Amino acid sequence: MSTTDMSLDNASSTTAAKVSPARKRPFKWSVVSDHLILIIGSLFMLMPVVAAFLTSSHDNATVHSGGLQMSIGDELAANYYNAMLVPGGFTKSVDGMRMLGNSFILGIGFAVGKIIISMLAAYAIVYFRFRFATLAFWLIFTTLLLPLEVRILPSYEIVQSLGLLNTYTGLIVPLIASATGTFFFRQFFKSIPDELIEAARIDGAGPVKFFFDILIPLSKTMIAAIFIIMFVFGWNQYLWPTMMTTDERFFTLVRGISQIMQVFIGSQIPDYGEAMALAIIAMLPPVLIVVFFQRWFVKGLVESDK
Amino acid sequence: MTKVVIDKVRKVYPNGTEALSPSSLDIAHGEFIVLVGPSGCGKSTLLRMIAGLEEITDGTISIGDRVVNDLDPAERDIAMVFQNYALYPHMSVYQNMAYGLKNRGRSKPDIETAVSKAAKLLHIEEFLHRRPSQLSGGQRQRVAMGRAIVRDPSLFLFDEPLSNLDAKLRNQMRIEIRKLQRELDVTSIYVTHDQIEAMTMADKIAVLNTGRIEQIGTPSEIYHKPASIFVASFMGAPPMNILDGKYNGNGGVEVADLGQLTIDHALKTTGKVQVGIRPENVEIRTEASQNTVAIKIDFLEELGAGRLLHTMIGSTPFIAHLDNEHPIDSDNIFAHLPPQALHLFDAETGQRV
Amino acid sequence: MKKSQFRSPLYPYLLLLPQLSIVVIFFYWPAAEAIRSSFYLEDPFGFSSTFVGLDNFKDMVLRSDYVATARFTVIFSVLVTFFSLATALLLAVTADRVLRGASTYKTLLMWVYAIAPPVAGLIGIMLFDNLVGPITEFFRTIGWDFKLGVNRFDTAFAMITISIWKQIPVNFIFFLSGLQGIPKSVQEAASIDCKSTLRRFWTITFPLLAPTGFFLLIINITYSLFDTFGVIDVVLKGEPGNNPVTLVYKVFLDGFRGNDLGGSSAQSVILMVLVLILTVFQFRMIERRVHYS
Repeated sequence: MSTTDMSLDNASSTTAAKVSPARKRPFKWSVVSDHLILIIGSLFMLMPVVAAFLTSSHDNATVHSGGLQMSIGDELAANYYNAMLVPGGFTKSVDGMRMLGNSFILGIGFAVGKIIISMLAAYAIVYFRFRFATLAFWLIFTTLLLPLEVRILPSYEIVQSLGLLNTYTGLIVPLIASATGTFFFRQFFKSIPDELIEAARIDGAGPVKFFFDILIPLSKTMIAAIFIIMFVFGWNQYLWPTMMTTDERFFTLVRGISQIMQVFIGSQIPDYGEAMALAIIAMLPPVLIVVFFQRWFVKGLVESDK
Repeated sequence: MTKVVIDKVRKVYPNGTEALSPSSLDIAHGEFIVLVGPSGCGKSTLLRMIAGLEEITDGTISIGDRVVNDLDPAERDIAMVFQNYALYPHMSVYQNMAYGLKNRGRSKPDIETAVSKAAKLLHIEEFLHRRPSQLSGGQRQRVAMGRAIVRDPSLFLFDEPLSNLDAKLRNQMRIEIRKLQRELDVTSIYVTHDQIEAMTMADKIAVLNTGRIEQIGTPSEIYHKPASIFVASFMGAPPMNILDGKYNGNGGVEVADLGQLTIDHALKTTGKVQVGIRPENVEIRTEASQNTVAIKIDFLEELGAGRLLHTMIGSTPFIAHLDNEHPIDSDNIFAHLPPQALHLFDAETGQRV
Repeated sequence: MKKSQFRSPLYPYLLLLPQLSIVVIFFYWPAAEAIRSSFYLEDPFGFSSTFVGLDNFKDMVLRSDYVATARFTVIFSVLVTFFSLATALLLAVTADRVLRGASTYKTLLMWVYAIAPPVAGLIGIMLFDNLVGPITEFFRTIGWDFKLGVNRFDTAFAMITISIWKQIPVNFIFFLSGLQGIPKSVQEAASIDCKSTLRRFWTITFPLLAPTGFFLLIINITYSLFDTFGVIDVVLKGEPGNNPVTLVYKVFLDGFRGNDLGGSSAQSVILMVLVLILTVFQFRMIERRVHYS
């Protein structure tokens, strides 16, 4: 399709140029400058990561003496092998694989937990008439006001007193305490025509049937979109895991980054290659999801914030 | 046999607004009754209370022999066709029609027979496995009808079901719904804001305005003997001409810019009245006589089957409907308002006098 | 609210139970705790605490390092917000205009959204590294003796640049979808009425994009206040020393490293108030946006 388009475009622009060259020229320049801007922008976003990736394929001495590398080296497999399978850290009890697994547990656990809990809550708020509905609404939506960061210390103390430090529960559940998901679902449910619940009621569907037969199937794309956003959000958590997990067996990749830094500071020749390999692995799953499910992701992101 | 009795039903919303003041309405078995009125008049509220989608503040509604006030919509043995059809977008046409039966625990072969019978009746057999999004507006309308029919309910409720269709399809569906309803012999309540739909479809019309039933009657009664100035002006297109006047207590009404009109009956009130005449009852004459007024043609609107003559009497717009044969000499025209065609309303209460 | 709702004595409460219990335990309790302890002075071992009223707040506001941190946070937020919004707007407007390769550009410009701030920080400090960083090398060739972690300004420069880089994609996505939300007919009418592309942008497109822009403004301020924690922590390698930090980082620093619970809580409460103001603002805008559409 693009090839025929291009040839047609070229043909028409050349004929037009013959007719009125003075007019056609500035138009063409603006297209060129548009592409130039976008290419520079794309390179700006892309180059740091490319440099990181290429550097991850060299041995540390090369990087140490020659700076970041812009060519592919021959240590790629070795660096990724070391990063993923050789235990590191202070206690030598954690390797990249373990951290990768923990990241998936956090990302998926957070996304799934958030979707289930917030869907149920939003269902109650939008589709039921009950006393305290307004109170429940405000209790939940006030949480949108304050990010975890401003109540991080007391949150830590509470999780500690509940004995949840260095557990997956303690890692995941407090992060769910913000109502973003509930807010998304509430907005979405409100956009579903009233007549649908009315038709369902006349058709004899009660609250449970309506939820499973009508609401969940209708929410499929929304659920997918929120899953992507929440997975990325959970995967990328840093501050909370940093405080919560001191036991290296519970480290996520993103949490492990600060441990890499420690190694950096201590050694004569830092493990550039391994560090970059871990960084690449830490970004790969969320980046792939966002790129492959771009349409859902963008839709979810843009619509949910309305 | 399903008759519906609505007895002094009232609706007040939690915020205190009264959507419907106490209203009563009796509907006989097999009757097709149309609730008509402008938006916000309470017609949809009444329909939704009958369906059980809205709480009843006061009064009772019975369907058949049961008072249904406290019954769930699903228990009222009704079916409803919604304005935007409310088809479940993720289900096929077949599943849409079968869903209500399935929830009632009907057996699979039973459902299959019911659905295919309804599909045949509505000529939608070939779409049964499509999704609603793959259908045209008219086809969706049929599916919505089908979903109502399969249930074999004792009462049909229609909430402006044709307002999303184009004009041609609307005319066609109007007739089809009526035919179907006669064939199935199911009592039906139909809400619309379109007075043409009301006139053409109804056995009986209830005209509502600002939460009150203004008049209940056959289309002919409503049209020819409107009980209030509201009914008179709401029903009929082009609308009835209304002129302000004063009753002189003596068989005549003084109308500004027109003079004295003779009327065919004595009125009980004295004082201000409003005089209405339907455009088609206005006669165009070439010479002055009793009950005539000289007019100037502002605009002649060609309708094909006739013409509409637009003019002004004083500052009030006035329309006369003419047939095609009627010759018009534009210099010398008089509008004749026959006494027996005049509708008289109390200017204060708006009621017919 | 829906016109038609279910009524049930049990269901709504059952459905709300999980969310409400999490919210109460992990939101209201810690928030209340933060507010409470901001009025108390706790000894470093946590054995006892005394009520000191507003002393913690007074101490905070009067401390020169807090004032300096607040000042730096403002500068940091303004720069990050402005440059990430401006760059994203330029890219979005351009991407909305090109016909060929539009979807490729879109992907290339948004994928960085998925990278965690500390990972961005890690890549950033490699690029800005005093020994191996290509950017540092470039700065030295133009005569700027760039020293990450040593020179306050240089460290701030790296932190801000990395934070901007990380935030461009979100802004780009929202601006682009805002642009695509402007009806074609309006753009066509504008192109008939006004020949200059630039003028058309400032008089038609930009005002129509204003609700998106305002919404993003709040998002970006929140981002630069809170989400940049990971970038800053990694750039500082966990050891701020003499380098500038933001308010959130200071809450963490004083509370965890300094063990000044009261002071840290007082800072949290100040931040809470700040976010509250921002959010009220934002809610207003959300209402308007819903109203528009």
